[in-house]
Amino acid sequence: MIPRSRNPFAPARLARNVRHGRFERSLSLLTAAGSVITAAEIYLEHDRASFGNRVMWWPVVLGPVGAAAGVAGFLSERMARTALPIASAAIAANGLQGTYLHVRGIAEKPGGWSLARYNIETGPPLFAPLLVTMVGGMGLLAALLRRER
Amino acid sequence: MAREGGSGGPPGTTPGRRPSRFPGYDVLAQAGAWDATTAAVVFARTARQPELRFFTLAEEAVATLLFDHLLAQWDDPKVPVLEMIDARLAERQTDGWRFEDMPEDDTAWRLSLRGLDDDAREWYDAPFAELSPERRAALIEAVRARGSDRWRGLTAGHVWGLWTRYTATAFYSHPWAWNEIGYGGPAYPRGYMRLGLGLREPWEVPDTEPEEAPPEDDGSDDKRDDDLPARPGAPRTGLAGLVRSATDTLRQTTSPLGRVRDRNASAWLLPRGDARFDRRLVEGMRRFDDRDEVDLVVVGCGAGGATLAQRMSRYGWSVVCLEAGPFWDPDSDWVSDEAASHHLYWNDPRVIAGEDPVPLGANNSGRGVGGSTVHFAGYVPRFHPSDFRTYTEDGVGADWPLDYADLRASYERIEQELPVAGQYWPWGDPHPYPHAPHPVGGNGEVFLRGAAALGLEARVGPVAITNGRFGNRPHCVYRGFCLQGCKVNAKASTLITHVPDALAHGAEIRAQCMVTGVELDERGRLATGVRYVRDGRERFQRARTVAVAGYSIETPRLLLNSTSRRFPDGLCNDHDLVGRYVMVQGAPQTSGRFTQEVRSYKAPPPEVTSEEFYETRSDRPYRRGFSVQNVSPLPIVWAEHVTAQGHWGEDLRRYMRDYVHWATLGALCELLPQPGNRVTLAEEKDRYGLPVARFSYSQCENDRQVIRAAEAVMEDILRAAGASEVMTINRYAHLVGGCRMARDAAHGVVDADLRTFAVPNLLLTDGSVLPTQGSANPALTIMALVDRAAGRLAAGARAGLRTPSGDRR
Ligand SMILES: Cc1cc2nc3c(=O)[nH]c(=O)nc-3n(C[C@H](O)[C@H](O)[C@H](O)COP(=O)(O)OP(=O)(O)OC[C@H]3O[C@@H](n4cnc5c(N)ncnc54)[C@H](O)[C@@H]3O)c2cc1C
Ligand code: SF4
Repeated sequence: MIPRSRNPFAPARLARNVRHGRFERSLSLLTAAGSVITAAEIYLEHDRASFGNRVMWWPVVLGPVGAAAGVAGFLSERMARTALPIASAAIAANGLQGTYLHVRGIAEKPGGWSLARYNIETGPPLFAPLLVTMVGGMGLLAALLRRER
Repeated sequence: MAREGGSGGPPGTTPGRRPSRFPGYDVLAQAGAWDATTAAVVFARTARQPELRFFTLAEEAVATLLFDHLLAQWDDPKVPVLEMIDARLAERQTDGWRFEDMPEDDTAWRLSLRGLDDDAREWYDAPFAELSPERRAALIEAVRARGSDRWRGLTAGHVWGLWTRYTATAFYSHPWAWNEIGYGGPAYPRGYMRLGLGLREPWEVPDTEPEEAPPEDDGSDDKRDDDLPARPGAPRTGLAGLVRSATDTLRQTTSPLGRVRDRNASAWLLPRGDARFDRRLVEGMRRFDDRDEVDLVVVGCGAGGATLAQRMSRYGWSVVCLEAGPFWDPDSDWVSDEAASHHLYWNDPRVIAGEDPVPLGANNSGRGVGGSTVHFAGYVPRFHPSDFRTYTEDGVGADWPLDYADLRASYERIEQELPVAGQYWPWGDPHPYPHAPHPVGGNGEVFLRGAAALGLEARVGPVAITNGRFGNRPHCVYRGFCLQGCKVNAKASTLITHVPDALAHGAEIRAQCMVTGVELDERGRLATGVRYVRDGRERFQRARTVAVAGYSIETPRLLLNSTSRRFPDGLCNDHDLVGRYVMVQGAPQTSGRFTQEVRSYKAPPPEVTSEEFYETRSDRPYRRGFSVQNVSPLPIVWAEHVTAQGHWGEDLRRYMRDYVHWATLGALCELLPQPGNRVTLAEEKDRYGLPVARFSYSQCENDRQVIRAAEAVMEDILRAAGASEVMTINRYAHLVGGCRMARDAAHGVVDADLRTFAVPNLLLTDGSVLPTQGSANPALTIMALVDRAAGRLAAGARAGLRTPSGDRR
């Protein structure tokens, strides 16, 4: 018998909530954290590449947006159903756009795909933008979940 | 006789099949990653060599053995040095310049080979070819040991330079020699990815004898008693400084690129993908007729000329730019190879003289659209505010007719257009750069490490190399061939930073046109156009305004060659100032040996700079100062370092095998402007029938002191970084001055707007106008001056004048 607790984030309750698909709030918060962390890393990586294309700012700007939406989703159920999926969809889409741009960047390095290994290793990181899409995916998923009890 | 080099030989062939310190390393196995043009020139060296055309039988007998001795090449397979040098001389691929006390290279070769044979007969009563190896070596060494004395009617030191320059260039351009020294060879389109001390590409082979100590030195590198000058005022940091540098940098990276593009769209007019220049821009270029009176004709399409052409065509002027050299196509004309980049340099004849003659060509003058920026290193620091008033502040040099503040906005504009990558710059007027600092290679790492150990500030940058995308220009691939022309479009040259936009705005860049004279109206008051030679025929382009931008040797030469009744001693030469105050920077280079592999050929040669010693300091006996940067010699230039220490034969080979362990720093010493350092006309004529330039240069005592101090600092940095041995050679870098700007006609040829005092519609828009040179590389300042002058010229035109606006200043 699991002892009852009022705190939805007490370990036992949390585990039960998760098992019943009730973890909207925690996943919102995770989305918020994920957004901030990826945005910080992207800022450093894109700064290293001089923000040579100014769209490289987008994922950096979307970081705080995702964070705000995630926290809002944590605090308010309504937000979890509105702001969070909108922001998350934007983040996920931005990740896909980034993947396209990184692929194009690799292709446009001298030698292009004929030097695939060298150009993938030294070009814009091929898979990194998909991690952004994953963060957006987490937010979308959160919006579909049931809220903790 | 033609010698066969085989088709590259078996994998990993070394000259003489010596056991390699890099076992199994085969540079030719990487040829799949090279571009076709480069692969062709490299494989031509291992293919069958053409028959001899230059050397006579007698000369061949001496030359063969001389080369074998100089390079210690005794066993087969041999690098076909004799054939390679013969081909160079037969095709007159010489450097163009010669010492005043030496004949041209081909004659010097004949005389010196005969001299060696004469020595043999005189000393040992036998021809050189029949002597024992020991005796031959003794005769060769005797020439070397004579230094600046005369020998057989020539200066021995210059003969030695000729011999070692040609032989080392041939030998170390050969892939077998690269196998022996572990050098990576061509690197385009694939560049390098593992930069830094001790790092290797997956295909590079480690040195099996990293500890090998080179032979004892002959004592040429004696310790200096000079200690490191006390540390000057450290660049301002502190919290406020940090915040300022962060916000300034952020402002750069967030400002919309559209603003740069609206001013200069060159980077967006280049093709995406693997071509480097859009030929349609050239084919669709507007073309003027010689009889059209264009608004502006520009002579020379280098740093200054191309910038002016771009700016004025943007302002709506009709512009023709006449360029002596070719319109480059980086894909087919440039190679990823040291020896085969000779065509980028100004190789027409020139005479050098004075107590400290300055070699020209490769080291300081380019030819073709882009000018010297095609093969410049790409360091683009600003001048310091103090540079503009050295006479007032330090009692040396000259004051400029403008201040740093007058140029600041121009500096910023050009920095964004190149664009420049680097850390926040703490020296001079502190400022950020639009692109982030590049990662450094082994050489840069050594510099940073040594500087840190000494408590000296050194920073990464500032280089005109993209670190990230810029328009359609890709990121640098760290291939290290910046001085051979960047085939990637990562390093700025005006060919890609200003020419495309000029063409898109209706300018005509007319290549292969050598300007031979500036013409004036009958009364000698205004310029009416320029005479030029194209396809062997003289032509005349009419123009309302003329700008000359041929750099510090050719601009004075053109003015001196443009005589008229009004200007019998050369155009604008009323005060005997044309051609005077030409400056070069003292550029000693110090190399240090490290047990770890440095592999300095990876990463761009320009990486790290320190301007700690830039200004005059009260604790030093000399005025003004120097900066320290790293330079990364490729094998042929590195061989020059080694031979300059007097090493040859087996000794040379031993040092060269150690190549991957050496890191090199270079200083830029501010040498003072002197009236006697000047360009005049020689008796000799070039292929256009014009008298060639004679450039005489001598240092003053202050110059020598600054150079010595810089050498001491570089040796300290390298030793602090852990170098076990250091060696220094003396060189020069850059040219500026020759038609300096000043406040009035008695002190200079042009005013602050680059307009000549003597002819109101004639401008000089290149490096020749600099009154002093600072310790900074000059290209950025040249371009900034032209940016400013262009704005003034356009503003004046709107006011109905055809000369710059406002009062002279
Ligand atoms: C190896 C090397 C490394 C360098 N490294 C650096 C560096 O790191 N940083 C830096 O700031 N600077 C560097 N420089 C110097 C820099 O390139 C020059 O200072 C700068 O390009 C000079 O600009 P300019 O416009 O005066 O002349 P140039 O750029 O030399 O242009 C002159 C042009 O005029 C043409 N010309 C000359 N006479 C005539 C004529 N009569 N008719 C038609 N055309 C003519 C020439 O062919 C040439 O194309 C380097 C130079 C070299 C060679
Ligand atoms: S800038 Fe220099 S190192 Fe970079 S790609 Fe061009 S040539 Fe190579």
